[in-house]
Amino acid sequence: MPFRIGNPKKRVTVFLVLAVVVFLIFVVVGLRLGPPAAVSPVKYFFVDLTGYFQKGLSGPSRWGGKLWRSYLALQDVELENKVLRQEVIQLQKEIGRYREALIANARFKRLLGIKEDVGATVITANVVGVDLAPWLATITVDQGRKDGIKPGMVVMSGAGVVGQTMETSLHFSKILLLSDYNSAVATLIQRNRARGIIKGAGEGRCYLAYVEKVVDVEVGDRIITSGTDQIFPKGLLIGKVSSVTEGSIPDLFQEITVTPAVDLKRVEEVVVLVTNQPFVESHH
Amino acid sequence: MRIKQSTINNPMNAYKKALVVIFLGYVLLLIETARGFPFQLGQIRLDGLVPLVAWYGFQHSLPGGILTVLGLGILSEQMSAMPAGLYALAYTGEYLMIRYILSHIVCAAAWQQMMLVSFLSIEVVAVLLIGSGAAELLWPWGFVQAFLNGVLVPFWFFIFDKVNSVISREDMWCGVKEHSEV
Repeated sequence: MPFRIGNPKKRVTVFLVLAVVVFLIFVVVGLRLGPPAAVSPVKYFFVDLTGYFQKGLSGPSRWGGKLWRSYLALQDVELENKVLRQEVIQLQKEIGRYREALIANARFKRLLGIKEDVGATVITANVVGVDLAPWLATITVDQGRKDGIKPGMVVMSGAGVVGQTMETSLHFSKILLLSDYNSAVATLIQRNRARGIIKGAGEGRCYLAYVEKVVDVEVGDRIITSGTDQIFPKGLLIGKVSSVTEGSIPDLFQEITVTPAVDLKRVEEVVVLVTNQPFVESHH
Repeated sequence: MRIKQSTINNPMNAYKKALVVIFLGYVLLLIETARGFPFQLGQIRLDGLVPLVAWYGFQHSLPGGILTVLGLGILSEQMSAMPAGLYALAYTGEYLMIRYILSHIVCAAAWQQMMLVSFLSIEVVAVLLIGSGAAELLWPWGFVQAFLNGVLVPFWFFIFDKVNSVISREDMWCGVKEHSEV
């Protein structure tokens, strides 16, 4: 007996339910394969459009914050000035020493035939939006493809690494922060050159994974990029070790918490290192 | 507070209601992402989208309503690094469950609606957290988020009702046409 639905209203319902089931199947397949390329232009147009609204909405709070910080900065300015003058004298001495070291380094590099670091242009961008899901640490900034930004570029703030670009539309880019659960960066402990991976722990926090128990790690150790992931150049500051525990006996590795050099929950302005080729560490 | 569980026979009303939901959803998305940090505390946030789907589910029946909710889900995932389709899946699930529950029991009192939204929020949060690989946050953060969504139901429903009554006014949609005819 053929399957027939007499009532037209019921027929519409059945077709709609079928359409939704088919859509959900596509969604499940899409979760595995990622969105199709044909959708990208529509998506990027939407990201651009929304970005302008986000920029308009986030502007007043940014200006308010700057104004408040400027006011606070005026207080104790005389005392700060004295301290800074002393610091300048110290730093000038240090600069002299570093210049000498730099010249010597360049000479040795030429002698050994080591390639120079890959040069990168720097683009500054303002944060205009955050991720809808609070446990995902991504932000949107107001510079995009037209400024030369592509996915996989290094993003920094004054004090250190912020993360990397993950998606770019024409005028806006999404950045994966160091503190995101999906973030992983190859790093070194600056003092003893031990390697590890910085992973995101959510809420603006990170931890250093895969450092063996025999490695000597101390609170306050500086963590820098190792350059081996071909995304981040060597020597950029990630943060400092804030706690070290041995972990349970069967664990091979130490449990090391790292405080990022940048306050990732309050970052407002970033710089993107624009380069046309991946940063590769020179091994010699 | 009582929610009107109206059956919308007029297709124009249904069309308007769908537009209201998409418009409200987009405004909420913009506010929650552009002014993110004041709206977020730890792993939870002041979320108006789950109550919006619930509010729509209380008022609009299948089959047309599901398309609006799918649209809202697709809109939401453009504002997040979440895997594609998760928001659509979560919100559709919430809407279908609301319709199923309402066809069996009446949730007229405010406390009943608060409990229902809390319960359905767990479904939404579970889909989103498990789908994005952060299942360990379900306890306690997911449950706290669901509780918060439920507690704030009277506030959100009040806002949605007010906006809906303003946007759905007949003169707002037909006034220009009537004048131009004159």
